Order: sequence, then C-alpha cells, then structure tokens
Amino acid sequence: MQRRTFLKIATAAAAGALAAPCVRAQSKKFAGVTLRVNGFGGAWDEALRKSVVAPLEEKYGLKVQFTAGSTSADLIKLIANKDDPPYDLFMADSPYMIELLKAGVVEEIRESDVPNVKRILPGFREYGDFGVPFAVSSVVPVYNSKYIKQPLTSYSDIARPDLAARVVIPAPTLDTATLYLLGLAEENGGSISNMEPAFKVLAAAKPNIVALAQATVAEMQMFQNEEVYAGIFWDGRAHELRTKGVPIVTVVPPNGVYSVSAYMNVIKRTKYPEAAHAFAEQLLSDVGMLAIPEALRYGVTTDVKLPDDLRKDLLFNSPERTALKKKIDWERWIADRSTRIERVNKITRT
Amino acid sequence: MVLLLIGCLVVPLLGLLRSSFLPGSHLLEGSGFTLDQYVRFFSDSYYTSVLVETFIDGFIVSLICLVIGFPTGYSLARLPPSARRWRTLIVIMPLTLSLVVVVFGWLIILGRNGFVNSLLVTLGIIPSPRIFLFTRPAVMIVLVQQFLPFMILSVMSVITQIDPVLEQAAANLRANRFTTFRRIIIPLAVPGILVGFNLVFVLSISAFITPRLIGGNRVVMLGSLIYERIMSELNWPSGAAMAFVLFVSGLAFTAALNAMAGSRIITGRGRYAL
Repeated sequence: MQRRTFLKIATAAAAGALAAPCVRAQSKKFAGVTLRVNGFGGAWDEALRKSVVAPLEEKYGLKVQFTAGSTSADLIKLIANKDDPPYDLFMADSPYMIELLKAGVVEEIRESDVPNVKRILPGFREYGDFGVPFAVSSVVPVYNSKYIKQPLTSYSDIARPDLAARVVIPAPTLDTATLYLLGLAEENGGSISNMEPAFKVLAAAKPNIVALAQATVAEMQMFQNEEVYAGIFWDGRAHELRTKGVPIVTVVPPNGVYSVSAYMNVIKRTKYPEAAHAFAEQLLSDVGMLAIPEALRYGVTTDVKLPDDLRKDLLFNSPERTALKKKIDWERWIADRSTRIERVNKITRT
Repeated sequence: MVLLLIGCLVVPLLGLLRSSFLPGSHLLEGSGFTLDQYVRFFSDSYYTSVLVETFIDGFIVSLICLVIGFPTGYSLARLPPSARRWRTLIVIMPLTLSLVVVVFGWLIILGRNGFVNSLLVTLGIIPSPRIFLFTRPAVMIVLVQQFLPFMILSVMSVITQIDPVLEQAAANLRANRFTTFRRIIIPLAVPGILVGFNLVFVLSISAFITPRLIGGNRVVMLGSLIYERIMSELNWPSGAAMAFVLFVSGLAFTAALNAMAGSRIITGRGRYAL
C-alpha cells in the first residue's frame, strides 16, 4: 500500500470513529435539547442527575442543566421573565406552588402527557393537575435515645417538664418546618384557623426551648454537639443524624404527620414541552422515584415498591403510615405567616 | 464626595423613610401615606422593649470594649513604632475574618462540649457543662470580640498624639500615675474614646447575624427583627419603619452623648476638666 493511500484510509477511519457517537446521538429523540431546571443543590440534585437525568440522556440524548439556588430567588427570576422563562422545569415545595399558580407560569401536567401521573398516591397531588410531587418530607418530633429514656409520642411532648433546656425547634420564619405548630394546634383542639392552642403549648414549652434553629444545618449541629436532646426536625435529616452516629429516634405522632411535598413543574412557554414531560415521566418511574429516598430518606409519592432496606428507614413506609399524612391548606398557612412569626417571637423571646 | 454621600446615603435613606409610611405589609410597590407602621411599633410593648434592650446591650458592649480597649490602646500607643506595627496587626486580624466564620468559632467554643465548659469542668468551677450559647451574655461576649478592635484603634490614634512630656511634667509636679491618668490622659483622650464608643455602639445596635446565630433567635435585637421583617416576611413598610426608628434613636443617643462630653471639655466643668 502506498503511503498516500494509507494516510487517506487512516484519516477516514479516524474521522468515522470520532463522528460515530455524534451521529448516534443525533438519531436520538431529544438529541441537542438541554432542559434548564432550578436546583436545590447538593445531594438532592446529585440524586436526580443519577436516577433521572442519566437514563434520559442514555435513552433520548436529552441533557438537563441544574442551576442550584434558593427557590424564592429563582421564583422571582421566573416570574420577572414570564415571556422568556429562564427554566423549562421548576422544582418547588408545596407552599411555593401557590405563588407559581398565582403567577400563572406553570402548565398542567395530564396523564395523557405523563402516564406515570396515575401512580401518584391519593391525596399527594395538592394542586390538581399542576405539578407532580416526587418527594415528601415530614416535620416530626425527634429525640436522642441516649439521654431521653421516656419516648416522645406527640408534637405536644416538647412541653414535657423533663425536657427542660433540652429542646430545639425550627425558627418561625421557616414556613415548612414550622408545620409542627399546626400539629400542636390540632393535637390540642385547635386548627389552622385557631392556632391559640398551639401558642399555649409553646408558652408551656418555653423553659425547654434552648434555641430556634434558623437553618436545618444549624439544627443538625445542635443535635450532633449534644446541645439539645429533643425537638422538631425533618425525617430525612433525622436519618442523616443516625448515619453520623447520633441515636436520634423519629417519632410518628398518632394524630397525624405534617409534610411538605417537592413538586416538579413544566413551565409555560418552554421550548421543549415534550422533553419536559419525558423528564416528569422518568421522575415518577420506579428508578426516578427512589432517587431522593435512597439519597436522603425522604418519602415517595407514588405506588413504587420500596426495597426492604429503604422501607425500614422511611416514615411513610406502609398504607397505614401514609394515611397519617395531614392535608394542609397552604394558602391559609402562608397568609398567616406574619402573625405566626410575631406570636412565636413574642412567646419564645428570653 | 458630596455627590457620593447624596447617592449612597441620603437617597436610600429617603427611600427608606418613604416606604416606612406606606400602608399594608407588602413589597416596596404601593402608594398612600400612613403612620400605621410607627403607631404599631410604639403601641406594642414587645417592639419598644426590644428597642430599649437593644440600646442597653449596645451600651454595655461599648462600655466593656472601652474598659478592655483603653488600656490596650494606651499600651500600644506608647510602644516604639516598630513594635507597635506588629501588635496593631494582631488587633486588626479578627476584622479580616468573615463574621460567619467568627460566629461559628464561638458556637464551638461556647457549646456544651466546647472549650469554655470543658475548662470550667476540669478546673472544678462547675460540676457539669452549662448552657452558655443562646443567651444574652453570649451575644454580648461575641459582640465585644467583634468590635473591640474599633475601640482599641480609636483610643490608640488619639493617645499617640498626646505628648509623653505631659505625663513626665505631671510626675514632676508630684502627681501619681493614677492622678496623671485621671487628670491628663483621659481628658485628652476623650475624642478618641467618643469615636470608639460611638462606633462600637452603632455597630452593636445594628448587629443582626450575631444575635440570630449566637442568640438562637431567643435573644432578640432590633437589627435581627428588621432583617426578619424584610428578608423573611417581605414586609418592607414595617421593616423600614423599624429601621428608621433605630436610625433616628441611635443618632439621637450618640448626638446626646457627644454633646454632653463635648460641653464638659469646652466649659471645663466636670471631673474630666482640663
């Protein structure tokens, strides 16, 4: 073979080898499409990348770009740019859904577009056809079994006299974490429209309350450093503490559990509605649904079968437990936040 | 300079003042004029007591900084310049650290299993660890640590201007060290003391990160309440009214303090008379 012929053949072979994956990718349904999603950051986004994004990329050539930030800031950005939205999909917890719906920036997600919608458990879709819930976090009483020998059984137990100067509760500015106040109210004859019983219990618990945690991380540190032995915390974070060697027990109050769901929304005027629906479909699939529980031990929202090792760690791990999930009037809860913050501040102030 | 002041201070202040007269509890948009935000503030004992406590805390922090900072500033000022340079750097060093880092350091030091508790238990001063965090004294300790350099630097800059010959002359006239300190040093250092006191006081009453993190949301100072009102509740009119109350009362307090100290120097009356 002549030198020139050899070089021609070798060049053609190399170019072919390099171009092959591109040609293959181009043949996939969503090749060249990149969906933009607001991110929660850290392990949360990582879990979604692994169990939702990776299979979609493999199957359809679809790429997804997460931009981690605070939901409130991302929401403002989205509402301010309705006509040219900066996201194709938007993740938001239950209370933020109200703002999204008011602003009219999200599309309905119907079973005809996302067949897995039919797998969502009854009562878990709080906003009709808007958004799909894909993880549920519950705010529950917890205690350190090394120091607390008499188990807590309800939200109201934070006022127990034996817990003097040992309790932490979330700061009132944290809308979702303060759902325990609704628990205090309803356990003592109150309701969302009559929170007085909750404030009475809180006043009784004042000698027990060491601090009102401004952030989840701060509360974790308090438990880890044994500044506090009991309190109100997220179920997933309580599990994280257990993995770090802190003997934290999660309490399941028999009168009901107060939870917040994480929703995925398809944004109006997205250029890729079909790709966004594919994302939602994968998110609600078995693999997608187990992403967050496996990484963070927050609950599932569909009829997915839980592996045994995961089931024992989850709060909602049976139909009986799931039935404890309380329905929350989020609109009312958010509307009353200023009054609630002020009352809690006044009660707990030293 | 005037334009910079107008652009960066006067205009935002006027904006703040305007929004404090807006009705309702919303973001900055809206119209109307009402005194409701101020009426609500002054008619609720919770807010007025927070204001008073904030001022008391600020005063105590400034006083502690003065007690610690004056001797430190004096000794630094009397050192040869070469030795003073390194020591001044040590004084300034905490200011180069992020406030959040400093606060988290204190969270570890003052914790139940922290250095302070361990030391006190080891020395047998207390039988078991106590709660130091999330208390008012803890907030004050951290504020003193944060703002002490301002007092030291203010005092030091004035003391360096006082000729050491004056102290020698006082000694020649048979004044002992305490009398010299009382009759010569302190009166001449009053401007520096006032600057330091004002700086520490204003910084203390407007602190919001330290009370929130070290106070565990139970020790409430007006700065943290304003932050909460604006950033968490998005209630700008109420937050603006509180901010303006803090601004005006802080200004009035420091102005009264300065006028009092100034009149004593000018008229030659009082125990610190020249």
